[in-house]
Amino acid sequence: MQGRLRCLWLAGLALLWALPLAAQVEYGKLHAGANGELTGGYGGDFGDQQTSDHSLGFGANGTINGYYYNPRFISFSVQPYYGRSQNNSESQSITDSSGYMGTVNFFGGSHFPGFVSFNQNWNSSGTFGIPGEAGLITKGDSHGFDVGWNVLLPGLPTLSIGYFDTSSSSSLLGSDSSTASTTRNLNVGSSYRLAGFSLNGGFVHTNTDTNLTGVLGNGETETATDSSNSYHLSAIRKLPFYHSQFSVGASRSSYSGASDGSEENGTTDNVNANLNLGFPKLPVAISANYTDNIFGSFQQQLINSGQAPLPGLENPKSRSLLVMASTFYTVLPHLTLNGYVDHTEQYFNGQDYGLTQFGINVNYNFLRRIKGLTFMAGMVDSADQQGNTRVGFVGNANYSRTFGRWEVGSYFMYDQDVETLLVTYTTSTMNYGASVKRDLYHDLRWVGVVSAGRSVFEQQAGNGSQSESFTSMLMGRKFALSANYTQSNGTSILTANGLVPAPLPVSLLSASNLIVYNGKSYGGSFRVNPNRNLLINTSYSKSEGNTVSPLMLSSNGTTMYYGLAEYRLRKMLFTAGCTKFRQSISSSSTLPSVVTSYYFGVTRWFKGF
Amino acid sequence: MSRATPCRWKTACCVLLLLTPLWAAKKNDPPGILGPPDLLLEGGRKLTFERSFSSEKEVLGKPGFWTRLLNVVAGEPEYRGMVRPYGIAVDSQGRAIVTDPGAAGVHIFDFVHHKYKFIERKEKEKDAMLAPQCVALDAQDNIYVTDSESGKIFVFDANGKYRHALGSLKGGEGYFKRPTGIAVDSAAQRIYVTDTLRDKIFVLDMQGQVMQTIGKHGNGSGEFYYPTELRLDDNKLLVVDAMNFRVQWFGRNGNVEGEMGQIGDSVGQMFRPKGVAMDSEGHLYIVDGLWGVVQVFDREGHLLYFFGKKGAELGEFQLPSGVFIDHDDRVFVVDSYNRRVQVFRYHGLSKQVRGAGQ
Repeated sequence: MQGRLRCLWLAGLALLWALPLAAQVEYGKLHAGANGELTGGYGGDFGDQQTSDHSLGFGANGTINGYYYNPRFISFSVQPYYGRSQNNSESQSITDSSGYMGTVNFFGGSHFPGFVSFNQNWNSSGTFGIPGEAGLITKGDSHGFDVGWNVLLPGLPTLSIGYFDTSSSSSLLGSDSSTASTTRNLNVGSSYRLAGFSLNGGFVHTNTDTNLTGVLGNGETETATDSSNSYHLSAIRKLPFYHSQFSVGASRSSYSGASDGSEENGTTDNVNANLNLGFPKLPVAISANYTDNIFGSFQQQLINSGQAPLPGLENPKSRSLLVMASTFYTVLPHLTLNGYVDHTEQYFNGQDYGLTQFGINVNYNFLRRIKGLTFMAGMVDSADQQGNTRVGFVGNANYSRTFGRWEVGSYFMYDQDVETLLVTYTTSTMNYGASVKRDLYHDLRWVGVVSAGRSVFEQQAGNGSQSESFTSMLMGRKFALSANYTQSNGTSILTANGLVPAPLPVSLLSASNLIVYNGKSYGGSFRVNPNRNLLINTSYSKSEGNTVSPLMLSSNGTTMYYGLAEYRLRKMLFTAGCTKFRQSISSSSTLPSVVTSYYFGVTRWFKGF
Repeated sequence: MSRATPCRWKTACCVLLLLTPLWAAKKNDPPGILGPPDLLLEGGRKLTFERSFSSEKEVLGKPGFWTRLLNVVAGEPEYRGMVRPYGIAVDSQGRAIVTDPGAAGVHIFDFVHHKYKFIERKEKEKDAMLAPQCVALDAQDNIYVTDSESGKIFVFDANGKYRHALGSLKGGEGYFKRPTGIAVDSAAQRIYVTDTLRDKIFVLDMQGQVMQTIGKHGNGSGEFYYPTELRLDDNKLLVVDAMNFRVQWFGRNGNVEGEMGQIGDSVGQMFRPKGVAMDSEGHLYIVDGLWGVVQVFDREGHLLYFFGKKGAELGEFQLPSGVFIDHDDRVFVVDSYNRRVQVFRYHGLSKQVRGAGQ
């Protein structure tokens, strides 16, 4: 296998090398253009846990674009890069990263267009996400391959076929934690117009392998293999009055997942119908949706977004029927009313639930009367078998106004008791923020931004999340100074990409899957360009926080100092950069990662042809 | 941060391999500069193509050893080029001064001394120059530029140094609604400015005080419908009356003395008249922006000949605008969409022959 890969690699390289050569001698009808940068410089790094090293080295990046015969026939683009980090280029990686990406489009102007794209990255920096915060730094490799082809023959059903394969592996700096995941996806779709109906159908197969060391979770290596298949059909028919239309759709999804001895599988069938009646003064929308497996559809959403289905999630028999109707009416030019009725019938855990929600929203636009203010307010009333259960409110307001040199803006959004996937749980969210801009002098401007958000599942306290952030920026024509602070806390689950807020009430999730997080981060940056050839960029960031899982308590911290100076002389760029980085994760058995790196070098831009 | 692994070295070799042919790539030689053939006219007259220029690079002379060395090591500098040139004038030193609303500045091309200068004021808090439209020169080669967006006239000395702005009101607004054409009469100490939106020509003294206005809205003699370019030549003030599809000329006292042109889509007619100029024999050169041609008329309005066609090759035009004829009968045509100026030379009859003929 290794030998075969090597042969493929060499063959691809030879082909890439031959392309510019061919264009150079104008062979046939091949046209190509290329440009790139070569960098030579001196760099080094040292740290507590590694031997110091310093050496002369080089880096490069380039772009080769071209086409054969005609851009609509075959066109291609390849961008290789080597030895690029934030110390010597515009790369965001704190480590020297290398790789390439490319795309070939073919038959673009025909009935059979297609494309192939590929990418490979080595040693690039990434982020292990923590909601509302900067996240923890990772280092890893990734590759992707994507191919697609379409058949677009007039008068016949269209056909589209696509396949992609992506894989990545990364390690969390300052820990012995690593993550690897591979996703393969095959999708086939078709559409056709017949007797006024727009018909669509398709099939999607997804397979995901995940391997992660849960240094923030239970501390053990977790392996999961998941796959899902889904089929869908839909038909849309425009009705011959008032831009109305009717649509029906059906889908069947099945998934299976094996994870460290436990196995999750299920099948979800879904049928839906929609009717939109576009009456000029009173448009009406009616829809019905039936699902025979509520939990299965949730798991399916996780798989479709590249995450593994949650093991240990209670999976009782369940089904749901949701019927909704809504309309809106314009009372006055600036006043509209929006009314709706939702009725849900659900069965899970051996019990039947019924819930009816009806509400009305009032939208009033004050843009002319009280300059810059708009707001919407509404009320939601819910009733079930026991009668009226709760009354919720929804609303939002926006305000923006300029007072002399001051420009202010603010927003407020509030949703109370909004229905979730499960009829017994509702969610409430609140977001608000404000911004202030002030022209100080000439080109000098100050901007301050405050924002905050809070969401919570009702019926159970302490299972939501909240975040706050403050930003202040002072900007001039030749400089920008900024400072920021964020704070967040909440309940999350662990995925290959990091922590994500718990998507369901915690009582429905296995306790072993839950991680409580609480952290804050702050930093600042200063960027100055005294003249158009010189640029100096510095930044400082620090984040610290805790994660708590049933088996693990971890205190995490990341600190980074960064500086870069660039001077441009024609097509040369003189660069000096340095990074000091420290990341610690207390639940890991390794010592913190502490590294300081520096670089001095020269970059020259070339245009090949 | 970490030592290079064999894998990275493999990538480095690959990148080098990919870039090798780029260095060896042979650049295509630019096609030979072949202009349009000479236009032979009656009486032994002819019109020849001289050159085309579009950027700072074409002004500079042959580079010396150190410049060439620097070019090899650091690459050639980024030469400033024209973005959307519009008006042109040539001063007594042979420098071509080109307004460029697209670049919000004025280019000065000095082919004699191999110098280039770009004048801009778009970032100035007071009297910023936003869309320089037309340009004229006085006897001292001071540069007068109309700014159609700010409604002012900017005055620079011969070296491009800012002197002052005419028509700048308190609060920063401009006096003119949309100043476009401009002409300077140094002998009479008068400046003529077209205000296109007011359908008038303002006559100013050299300090910017309005002395007189010429014309009003209409299509009668001496009236205008969106007048644009102006040219003061042979004691005549030539005015392009754009939406009346004609050129009118006035005496120094402001009285209309004649007009020519009619709307049409055939040769000898006008559809989008732009620049206007007059050669040493009193022939009128009128640029038509839509057809991409320069039509030449005699004093009676008869078409003598035309040159150019729509295109991007030398001798062709796309949305041509300004035109200027210097004392050597060199015809400078601003080829706006092609981002260049093309220079032709009219070889007329010598003065002696003309004198004998008369």
